[in-house]
Amino acid sequence: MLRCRLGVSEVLGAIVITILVLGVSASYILLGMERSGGETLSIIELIRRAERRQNQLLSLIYYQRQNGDLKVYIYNYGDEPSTPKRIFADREIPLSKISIKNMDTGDLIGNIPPKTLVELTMPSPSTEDFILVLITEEGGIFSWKITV
Amino acid sequence: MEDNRLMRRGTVAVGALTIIAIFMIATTCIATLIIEYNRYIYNVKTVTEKILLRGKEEVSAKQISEDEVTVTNRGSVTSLIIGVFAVNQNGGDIRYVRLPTPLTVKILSSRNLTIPEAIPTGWRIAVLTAYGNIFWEDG
Repeated sequence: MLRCRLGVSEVLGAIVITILVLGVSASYILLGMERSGGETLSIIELIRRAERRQNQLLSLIYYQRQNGDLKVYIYNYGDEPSTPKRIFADREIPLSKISIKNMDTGDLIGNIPPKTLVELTMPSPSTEDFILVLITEEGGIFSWKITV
Repeated sequence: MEDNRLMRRGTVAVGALTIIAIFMIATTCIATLIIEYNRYIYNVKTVTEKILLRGKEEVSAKQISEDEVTVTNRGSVTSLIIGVFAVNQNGGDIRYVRLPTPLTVKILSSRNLTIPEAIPTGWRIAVLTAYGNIFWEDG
């Protein structure tokens, strides 16, 4: 008696298995690529951020109290610009009350460019001795003892 | 029989390709990290050297006339004068003159510096170096 055999042929089975293996491998590689790529990028970003922080070198040149303001002259001898994020004297000084003037051009600017002397004007603190702390957006922290 | 062999060969090829791809991704990631880290280390070295040299600078300045200053290098490193900073001690006015070309002053040597803008002789003057040091006029 001849029995009817229903099912897929061996060739078709092989093709299906190959497609399955290829699909799973491709998705695994893509997932791994995305994950490892993301992690590598975040480590690189950390290293670059540390590099930027390292390249910020600020030097206090001069300071004086004038017409109720404190004028601080800072030279950036590093290779990265420094953008003030927070400034403390006897208390925190809001950034809105601070102005930065480029001493080369006389223009008002938002950061301390490399190889540039700037004049930082802020409301004068009530005390004569204080520590001026400048925290930059690039992660630098600078402090100077000031007696006016 | 032949089909089974073909299927096995295909699977082996796919496996090999997967391993090669994973290896290449890992190598690329590690190589990128090593390059970035080496750059960072070089940068740290450069910055440390700069800070060390900054500490070795010692310069004296003497105003000769309204537009001339004598600069003497007494430190152990060549100094690059980039500007003249002056303060009027009576009014508190500030003047900063950046030199068009920085002046190099070698160790134990003196050089005359011509200021592009005249500074009154009564003002207290200082010279600014590329390392961010400021040296005030003696006395």
